[in-house]
Parts: sequence; C-alpha cells; structure tokens
Amino acid sequence: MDAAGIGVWEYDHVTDRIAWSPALCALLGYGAAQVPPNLAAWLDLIHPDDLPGLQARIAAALASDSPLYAAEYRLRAADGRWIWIDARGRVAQRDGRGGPC
Amino acid sequence: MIDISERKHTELLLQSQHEFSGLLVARPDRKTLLEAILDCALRLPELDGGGLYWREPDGGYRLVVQRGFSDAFFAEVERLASDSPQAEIVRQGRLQCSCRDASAHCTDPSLGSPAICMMPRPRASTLPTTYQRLSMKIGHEPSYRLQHYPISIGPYLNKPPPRSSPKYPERG
Repeated sequence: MDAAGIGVWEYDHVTDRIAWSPALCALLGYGAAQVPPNLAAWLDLIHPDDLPGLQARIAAALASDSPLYAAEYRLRAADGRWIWIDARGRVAQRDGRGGPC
Repeated sequence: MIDISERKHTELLLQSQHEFSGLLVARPDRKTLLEAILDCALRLPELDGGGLYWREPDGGYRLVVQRGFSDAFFAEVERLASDSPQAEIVRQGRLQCSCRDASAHCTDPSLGSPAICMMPRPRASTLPTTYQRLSMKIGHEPSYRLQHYPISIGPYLNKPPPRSSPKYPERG
C-alpha cells in the first residue's frame, strides 16, 4: 500500500490514540512526532466545511454494524495546504453491545 | 487514505466553468458579470478574498468588485494610480506576487504563486482600453497546474447595470 500511495490509520477507541502509517505521514508531510495523538487533534486538521459531514459519518459507522465507512474531506497538510482525501475504514472489533472496542 | 486533490480540483474547475457558462447565457450586465467572475475564482481552494480592477482612461485602476477585504485594506487599494507599482505589475501582464513584504513564496518561482491573477487581453484591432477576452491564471504548485480559462466577455462589458443589482454578502 505504501507503493500505491495509500496511507493507513488506526484509532483505538479505548485509549483514544491514533496511529498513522509512514505513507500517511508522507502524504500529508508530517513527521512521526507531529501525528495528531487523539481524535480531537485529528479533527482539528479537518476543513471546517467538511467537519460536520465527517462527524456524522463517523457516528454512523460507530453506532451500527456499518460494514464500511467512506468519506471525502480536506485535511490540512503540514505545509498549510488543504489535501483532499478519500478515506475508508471499518470498525475492526466490537464489544458485546456492538460498540467499537 | 488516498490523495484525491487533483480529481477534486478538476471537478471544481469544471463545475465553475459550467456555472459561469450558464451565467453568460443569461447575458448579465457588467456588474453581475464581474461579481460572477470573482465569485467563480474564489470558489477555488486556498483563496480567501480578492478583487477585480477596472482600467481607467488615465491608466490607473479602480477596484470595482471585491470579496473579503477589510475596510482599511479596501481604502488602501481601492484606487491604483497609473504611476503606482501595482499598476505597473498589471501592465506587465504577468502572474506575479505583489506582497508588500517578500516571503519565501515570492522569491522562489518554483513554488508558484499562491494567488490568482486575472489579466485582460486586448484584442489587436481595438483600442487599448477595450478588452474582449479575459484570462484566468491559477498558479499554486503542486496543487494546481497553471491553468488558463479564456472567457469572451466583450459583449457584456458595455451593457448598463440594472437599477437594482443583487448584493453579494461580503466575506468576514
């Protein structure tokens, strides 16, 4: 996926920690130490016009058994430019009540 | 995640061109046309404000439509005298940065110019103050390639404005 320019992220709902792959860091120009550490910091990088729609999609993906989360939005790159992103994901593991864990 | 910026920018440019063509079909008056040109340009990413100048008979320029300017900035740039440095930039007909304080993007051409410049192109057979085409250049490498968007606006420039023109909200 690195060769294809696809960046990978992972969010741990229990610890509120985010991890980015080196390819995603390169895509947005951030060093490993500059990766937003939690969801709030990540959302701070989203374009204000795209944020409400993205939050709605995230909530929908978390609240149900949605097989796939997909969204297009703008992320602020390290050099200040807005980068349009096609992001896809899914909840990898759910607890007994269907919530992410 | 993948970067789809190029596709999105192409979509936006095509959408803007389509909407602008639709406006031309309605044969707008001059004021509406100029506002539409500026609004079309400002829909592109990374642009927070801008203005269009009208060339005066004395060689100076008058700001005829603007978005996002503060009152103080508007007062400063509303009129460009014919012997002003800014008027000279326009006369040169090239895309270039006119920042008052030079910064990295002003001095390194390889970075492109994070600005939009709309230059009138005089038709050879007409008077210097009569412009038949207007070219929009968008330069912001590597997000955008330099693009030209030629529009024929000559037939609309001399159409008188209606008694009440639609007001566009000023950006904050």
